Amino acid sequence: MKKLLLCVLAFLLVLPSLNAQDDAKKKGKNKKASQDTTQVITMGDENASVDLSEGQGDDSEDGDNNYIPGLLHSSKDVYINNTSYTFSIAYFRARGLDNKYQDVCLNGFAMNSMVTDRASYSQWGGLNNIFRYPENIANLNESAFTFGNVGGASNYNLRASNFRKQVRATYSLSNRTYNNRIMLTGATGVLKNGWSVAGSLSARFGNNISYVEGTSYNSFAGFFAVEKKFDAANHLNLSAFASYTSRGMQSNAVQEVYDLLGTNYYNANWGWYQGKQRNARVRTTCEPVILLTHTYAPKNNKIFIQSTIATSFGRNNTTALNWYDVPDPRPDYYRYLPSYQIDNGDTSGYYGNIHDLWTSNDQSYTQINWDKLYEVNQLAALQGKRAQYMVENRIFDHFLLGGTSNFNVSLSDHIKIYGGVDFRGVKQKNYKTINDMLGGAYWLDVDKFSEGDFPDDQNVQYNDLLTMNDTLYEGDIFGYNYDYHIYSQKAWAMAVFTYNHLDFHFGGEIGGTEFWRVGHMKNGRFQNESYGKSDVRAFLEGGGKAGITYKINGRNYLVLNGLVSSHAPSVLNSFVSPRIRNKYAENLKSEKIFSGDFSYIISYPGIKMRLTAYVAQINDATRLISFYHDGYASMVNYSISGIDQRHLGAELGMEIKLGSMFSLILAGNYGDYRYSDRAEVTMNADNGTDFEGNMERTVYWKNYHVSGTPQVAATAGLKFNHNYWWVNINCNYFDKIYCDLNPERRTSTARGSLDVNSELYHQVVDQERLKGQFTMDISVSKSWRIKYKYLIGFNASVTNVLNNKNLVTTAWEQYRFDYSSYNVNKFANKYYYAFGTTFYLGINFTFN
Amino acid sequence: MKIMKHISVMSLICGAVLFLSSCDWEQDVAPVPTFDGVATMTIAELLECHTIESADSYDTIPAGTIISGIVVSSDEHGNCYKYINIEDGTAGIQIKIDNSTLYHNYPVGQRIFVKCDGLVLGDYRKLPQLGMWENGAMQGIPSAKTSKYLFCDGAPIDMENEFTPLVLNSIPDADNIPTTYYNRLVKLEGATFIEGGAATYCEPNAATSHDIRMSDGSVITMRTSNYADFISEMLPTGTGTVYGILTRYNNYVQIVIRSLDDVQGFVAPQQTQTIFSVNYPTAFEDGWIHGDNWSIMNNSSFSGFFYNGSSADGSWLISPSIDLSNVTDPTFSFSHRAPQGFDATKMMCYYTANYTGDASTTLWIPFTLNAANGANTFVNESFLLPEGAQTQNCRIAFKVMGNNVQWAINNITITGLAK
Repeated sequence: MKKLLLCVLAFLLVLPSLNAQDDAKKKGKNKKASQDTTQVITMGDENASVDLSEGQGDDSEDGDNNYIPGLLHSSKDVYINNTSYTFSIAYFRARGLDNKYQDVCLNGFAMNSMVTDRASYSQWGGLNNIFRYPENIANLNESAFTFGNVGGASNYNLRASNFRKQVRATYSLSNRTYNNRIMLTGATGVLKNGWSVAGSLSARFGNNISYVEGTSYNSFAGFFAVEKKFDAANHLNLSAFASYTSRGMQSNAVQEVYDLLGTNYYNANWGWYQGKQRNARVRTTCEPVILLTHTYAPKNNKIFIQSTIATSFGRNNTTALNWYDVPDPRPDYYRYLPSYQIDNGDTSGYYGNIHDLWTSNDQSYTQINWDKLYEVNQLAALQGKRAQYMVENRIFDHFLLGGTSNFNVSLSDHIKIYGGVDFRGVKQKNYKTINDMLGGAYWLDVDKFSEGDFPDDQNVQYNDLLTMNDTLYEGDIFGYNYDYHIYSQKAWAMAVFTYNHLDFHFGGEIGGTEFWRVGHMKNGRFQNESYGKSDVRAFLEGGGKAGITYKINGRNYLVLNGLVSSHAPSVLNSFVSPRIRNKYAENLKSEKIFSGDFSYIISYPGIKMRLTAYVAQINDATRLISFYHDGYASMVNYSISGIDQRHLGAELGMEIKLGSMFSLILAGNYGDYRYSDRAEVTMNADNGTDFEGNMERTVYWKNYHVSGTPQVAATAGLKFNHNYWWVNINCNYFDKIYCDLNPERRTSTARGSLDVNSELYHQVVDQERLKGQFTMDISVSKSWRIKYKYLIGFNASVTNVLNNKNLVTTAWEQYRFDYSSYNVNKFANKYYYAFGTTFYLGINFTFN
Repeated sequence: MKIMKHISVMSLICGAVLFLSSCDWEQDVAPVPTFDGVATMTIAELLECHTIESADSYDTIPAGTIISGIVVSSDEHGNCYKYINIEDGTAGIQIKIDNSTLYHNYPVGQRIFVKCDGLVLGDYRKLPQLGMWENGAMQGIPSAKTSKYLFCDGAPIDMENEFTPLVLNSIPDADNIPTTYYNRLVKLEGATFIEGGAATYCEPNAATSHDIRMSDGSVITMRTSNYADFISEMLPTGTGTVYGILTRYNNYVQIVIRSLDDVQGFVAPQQTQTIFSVNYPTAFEDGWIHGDNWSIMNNSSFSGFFYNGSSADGSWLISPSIDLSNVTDPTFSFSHRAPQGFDATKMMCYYTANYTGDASTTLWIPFTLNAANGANTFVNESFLLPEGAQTQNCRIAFKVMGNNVQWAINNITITGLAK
């Protein structure tokens, strides 16, 4: 708290001094960007290749597949421009980097969660007309609003004055995650009295034609901004927005299930209840943001200072089934599949029945049988017993307060200095509550995995000794309840030099992150290290960045960039059992990143090209995974440290004009992303299982592939643009798609005595590579201007025209593993598939 | 020229990336687990911790005890269930584990170390076992706890070349076998299944015992589970070698094989076939060719072919064509009697594989006959027909030459082993 106060104080001190600056002319980058933006909006170009990404982008809100499309809207970079949307169907990640390596800023304030490191696009989901044209910094290039990150950075200007005077209404129809979207956006522009006001409302809803059965979508969002220009240099802006989104989620499954049902879009999350499809996994998010921004931009353009105080707060809640001492309610649990019966030697009786239930898709078996769950609970209630099934809420409530101040100063025609400071703190509460008792009488908060293990110590089973005998009802907190407190402070600066044949820049960042955990439950297994505040861990952070551009001539450039940086590990990965213990993982280290790229850029009127070779080395990353370990018959927390990754590759973007109306697009990425060294693991169990000295192990995964993206992606496209018609046709190819690894399968423990030449060994350790796939997209848009006052736009896009349903977007090995029979198909790989043909139709109406 | 420049820069970038990405990225390999420690006692020493009594019982093991041994049992084929056997050269021990698939984790030849703290040494029907004692009997180590007690060390050894099993040629009474012999892999040499060729390894619904007789007549019981995957195979006939785990059930000495590979060297005696046989002819059957003075005699004192007369050029008795192409080691035998004494210059026997239809132009290969050692006694002759005779058209022939010869022949037989 003290730190938070300090940061606010420091911020307030900075403000008046900014106001005192003289008003002079400015031609800073931000201004330029805002001009570009205004122009584009005025044109009313509902450019299909930009707008259509939204449906896909919404998928990223699903934490199970943390994909957020990359730098979508760069208007300059020929590679990003032509790949960001077309590659998004395959969950392509630029340079194979997780999106936590990309800073997303609003008015210069970074919105990356301090807990997950990722920006949560769902915070502004639906506000597409507002969050439309960010300023993008590709990868390692220099930036005027933040030091940046290895995956680049983007900044959205949300000041009211940024939006031109107009009103715009949009309706879209789609069969992706939602069916309908309505948006209404208006802005006053800068009024004579210096005020500007902008606002936007949005609704997204409907699931009648959604691609995946049992999913649903309801979202409402609003944005409001007001700005006052006090004098020639000082502006004060208040922007606030919120997006409420509730969506029934899609599950992943093993191929056996997909094959039995004949569809790769099976969703295990829902079942029939009272004649309706009820989804057990509903994610509801509402995390409003308020930004108070002061901008100092004198007319001389020699100085630009923007300072933002921001707060973000709200809830992220996902429901899930919970059960106690009863069969697993999930319909695709491995024991309910035909393969399990075969493995157990039953190829006739029970197997036959189960096989028939699946192939005939008897939805009382292949989907959640809610009636059965109610029946079990009601019978138990009649006998005065506890509920055995329920739906729980997994809640994250956060409150963030912070401030950022960035400045750009032109010292001469050749030298500019950028810099800034950033202070922030967040408190995130993590807990579970009972959402629905499903007809049960009450709930008891005991751990199902530890109840039987310690018959002599009854206390062990209780999740909270402070309330151990309480009977719990809907709304009550249970399971775990703890807070993360995270604070960080940063300062950065960069010098940029511009000369005739040579541009170069260098800069640095220094800062720190501190965090701790506060437990609100006294867990029966860890009575002395679950309740109260943990130690505080502090990490020094910093980095350096430099780049040089050699301008051979006005058409040919050579660019070399480099970055080194060090980040605190995510708090999520820092505790061995964060839900119940204050104990930190061993060997907690900062993550180090080294990255460089070398580009050759050609810019002729008829041909634009960028060819880049890049490398990114990430060292000492950490990860925490939890799973049921069949070898120990226990839930384990598997804390992996020292994860080293090397991402190598080349990017090519090329656009060739064919006459005045057509352009040919060729773009692609060839990457090679691998673990560059072995990693170390420490295991702990939530139920207190003692691993008897087997807690530590090495993961032998050097040279295995990093998953999460196709490493090869290419597109060839044709663009047509004439008389306000835009047509894009793209053929895309994706390859080198790898399955995410279960690290445990690459340990000596799992390998045991298997002979490296045996088939079984290779079944256990070889990494699955999915087949390369082609897709094709077509989009058309057209706009009509009426009397220079109205603009009507129409756009339509069909993604995956050829209806290829075999493109795996995410694949991973289950963490459960059969240690005695080494049957890797018992817990087979799970997959998500890209949708087949989907469409997105939009119509918009703008008047000035 | 400009284009060349573009291309050269681009090739440089692409080349560098391709070079780096085409490096030899060898897949990492997790080493086999090793154990950091040493055995504190031999298995023989461990066995001394427990006194076997009339009823199942157990004894505790000194704190800190670690033993080590090579796994010799396997549940891969279903004949061992929920245990492994290890031995260290001094003795063997059975370790009970509550898991039904152990052969991947503890394959034959694997060295393992056992931390015995928490385990007890007991017996089941006098067979020593390592495990836990619960409810008045030895119990297996729970599957989830095996990693607390059992530690693999290194890769499995090559059992054929790096391991010598205990060899047994004779089976004493159970109590006369040293305790250190039990639970070890043994090799029974000169073993015969009493029910060889007459029974399967196991009944379908119950574990089954079959006796094995050693060359000295002592007997050991082979005990086979009906869950083994070879139960419907027939027990082999003949004599051979049997490998297996030596166990006892009270006073019965037993062996448990791990798979059919443990039953070796049993060659079924080949069936002898009679290809040709003329014992008591009553007439010259079809195909016989005979010269003058050959007749069939059939009276109370003798029946067979009989020659009585004189022939200066020789008188032949030639068999029908005999097919010897389907047998190995054909043996030709007959009995003969020369009432006036045997004279090898007068009485001759041949075979041919190329009878021309005329005895005088046929190439005959002679047998050397024994001299009959008594005027009126039948003498047996037996010859292995050489390879040259093993055709589809073999004939044998008898030839008499000279004056006043008498020669009686019967029991003409050719036998062979079916190919």
